[in-house]
Amino acid sequence: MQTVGIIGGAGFIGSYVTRKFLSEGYDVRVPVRDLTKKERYDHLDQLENAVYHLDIVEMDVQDETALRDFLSGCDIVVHSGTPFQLAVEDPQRDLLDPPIRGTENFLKLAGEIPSLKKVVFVGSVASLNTAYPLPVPNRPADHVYTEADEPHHDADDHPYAQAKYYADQVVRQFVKTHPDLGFEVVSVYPTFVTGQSLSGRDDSSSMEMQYLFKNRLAPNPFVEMMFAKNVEFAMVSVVMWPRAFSGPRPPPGCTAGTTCSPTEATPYWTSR
Amino acid sequence: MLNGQKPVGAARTVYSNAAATLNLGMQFQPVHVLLSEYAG
Ligand SMILES: NC(=O)c1ccc[n+]([C@@H]2O[C@H](COP(=O)([O-])OP(=O)(O)OC[C@H]3O[C@@H](n4cnc5c(N)ncnc54)[C@H](OP(=O)(O)O)[C@@H]3O)[C@@H](O)[C@H]2O)c1
Repeated sequence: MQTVGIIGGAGFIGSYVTRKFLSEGYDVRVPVRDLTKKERYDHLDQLENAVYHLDIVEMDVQDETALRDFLSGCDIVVHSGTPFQLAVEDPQRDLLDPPIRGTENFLKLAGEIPSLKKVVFVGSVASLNTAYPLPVPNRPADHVYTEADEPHHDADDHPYAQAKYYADQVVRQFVKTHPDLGFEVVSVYPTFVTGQSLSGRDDSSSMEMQYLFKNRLAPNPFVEMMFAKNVEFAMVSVVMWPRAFSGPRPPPGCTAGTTCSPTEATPYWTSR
Repeated sequence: MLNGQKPVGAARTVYSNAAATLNLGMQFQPVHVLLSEYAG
C-alpha cells in the first residue's frame, strides 16, 4: 500500500484531495498545524476509509524536524499547505514566509526520502501573474496565458500573490538545478477554486469570497476592485447562482445587507 | 447557465489548461455541469 502525505490536507482544497486518495485505497497522512484545534480537521474522520487509513499529525512546514518526520516513508506528497488569506497582520510572517521557506525546506528534505516518487505542488494562477485577477499589464486583452509565458511579478501586488510567485520560482529553480531527481515534480496552478466545503471551517478564503460575492460586499479595495473591474468569474456566480451561497459566515466586520467600506488609508491586505 | 439563460458575454479562455490535459491526462468538465451539480 502506498503512503501519500497531503500538506494542507484539512484545508478547503486539500480535504477533497484527502477524500480522493482515501477512496482510492491509499494510506493518507495529513498534517495540521495545531492538533488541539480539532474543529479544523475532524471532518476528515467521516471520510470513507479514514478509520484505518488516515493518520493526522502535527506539523508546520517551517519546522524542519517535524517536516522530515512527516515526509519519511511517503511515496507521494501533495503540497497544498499555504495560507490562503487576503487580510493578515504581518504579510511577511503570515503570507510570504510559510510558502517560501516551507517550499525551500520541503525540497531540501525531499532528496533525503528514498521512498518518495512523486511530488505535486499546488501553485496558483498568482504564481504566473501576481496581478491576477487582472491581466498582465501591457499584454494584449485577448492573450491566452500558457506555460510558455514568463511569469509576471510586481512588488506592488498582493503579498499572497507574491508568495505564490516566489514559492513557484523556488520549485522551478530547484528542478532546473537538479536534473537527476529521484522523484517526479508536478506543479498545478488553479485559478479560483470554490464550491461546497467538506468542512465547517470558517477560515477558508474560498468560502469567505463566496459570501462577499453573494452579498456584494467589498470590505477592502481588493474585492472592491473585483466589482469595479467587473471580474466576470465572480459576477456570473453572484447573479445567476444565488442558491449556492448559503452557509459561510460573514468575514469580520461585514454583515449581510450592509456595505463594508474599505479604508483607503490602510493597505488592503492588513487585518480588517 | 443555472438560470437557464445564455451568458451575456462571449466565453473565452484566459488561462489555458491544455498542458494539464496533455501532460497529466486530465479531463475537465464544462463549468455548467459542476454548477448544476452543486446547486442541484
Ligand atoms: N482556493 C483557491 O481559490 C486557490 C486558488 C489557487 C491556488 N490555491 C492554493 O491551494 C492551496 C490550498 O488552498 P485552500 O483554498 O484549500 O486554502 P485553505 O482552506 O486556507 O487551506 C490551507 C491549508 O494549508 C495549511 N497550512 C497553512 N500554512 C501552513 C504551514 N505553515 N504548514 C503546514 N500547513 C500549512 C493549513 O493547515 P491547517 O489545516 O493546520 O490550518 C490548511 O490546511 C494553497 O496552496 C493555495 O495557495 C487556492
